[in-house]
Amino acid sequence: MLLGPSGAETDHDTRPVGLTSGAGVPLGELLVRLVDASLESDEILAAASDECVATLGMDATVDAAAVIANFHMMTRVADSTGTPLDTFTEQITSDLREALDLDDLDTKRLDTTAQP
Amino acid sequence: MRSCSIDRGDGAALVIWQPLNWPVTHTSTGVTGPLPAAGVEAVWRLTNHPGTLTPEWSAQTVDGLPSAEYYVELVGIVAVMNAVDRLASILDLELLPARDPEPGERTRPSIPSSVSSHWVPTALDATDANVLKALALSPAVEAMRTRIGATHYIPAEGRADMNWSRGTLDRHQIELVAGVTSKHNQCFY
Repeated sequence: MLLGPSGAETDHDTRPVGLTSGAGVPLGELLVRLVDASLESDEILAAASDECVATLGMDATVDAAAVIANFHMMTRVADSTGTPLDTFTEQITSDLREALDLDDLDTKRLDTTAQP
Repeated sequence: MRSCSIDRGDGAALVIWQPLNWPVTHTSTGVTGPLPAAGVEAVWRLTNHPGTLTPEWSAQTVDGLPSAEYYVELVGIVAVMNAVDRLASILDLELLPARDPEPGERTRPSIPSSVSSHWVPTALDATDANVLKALALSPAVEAMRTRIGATHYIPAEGRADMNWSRGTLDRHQIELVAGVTSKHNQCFY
């Protein structure tokens, strides 16, 4: 996740630990609502999508939907192949992983010690 | 999501997102036939419960398939199709129909590989980030994944640019959507 590095060159008060509430990203709460709604009923998704189109415009809404789709794909690639964290990523994210309780995720098993 | 039921042969039915009763050519053997039971199970679990996969499950699934290459190709196709169908669903578009298999010889080159970091073999000369090595055994599928990544997320040349944008979402917003989606999937990577 490059949320932290992507905020380093902006004036935004980025808070990756506040991921589900928008993390301080402009219009972040709206984007999080779209992601959440993409896993809900058609009615909830349509409402969130309409809100995004009204606020961000159609092109940005399509791009947000595409990013959601891409990361459903990447999750499945990583989880099905036992992809371990890259060494560099592991080193620089220890504090963030602790703050977000990421080390408690079931998929933490996807580490270099978890060979079949 | 499109869905259908598949008879697992043990009295239980799997409800999955895409018909799999069309003949499938086993690219490792060149034999055309139905998807093996382990393949059906893999499609279902990978589609619906990616956070439940374990190294033992992966090894058992590979044992039920013609080869590790077959497994990598299968999971790559499922992952790519998941992205294609997810995008259509979010935008309320009609899902693309599944294409019929085409006759022909396998074209996949043999890739020198070993099990060194992932559950599956990866190419010996791969130097990319670990997740970009994961499908190395199936170059055609990896090429599909790369194209989806470039168009749906960020092209390779823009990845290191923390200000990259298509002119719609800024990089910060893109990474927020990526992070929240990954969190929903309980994706540690």
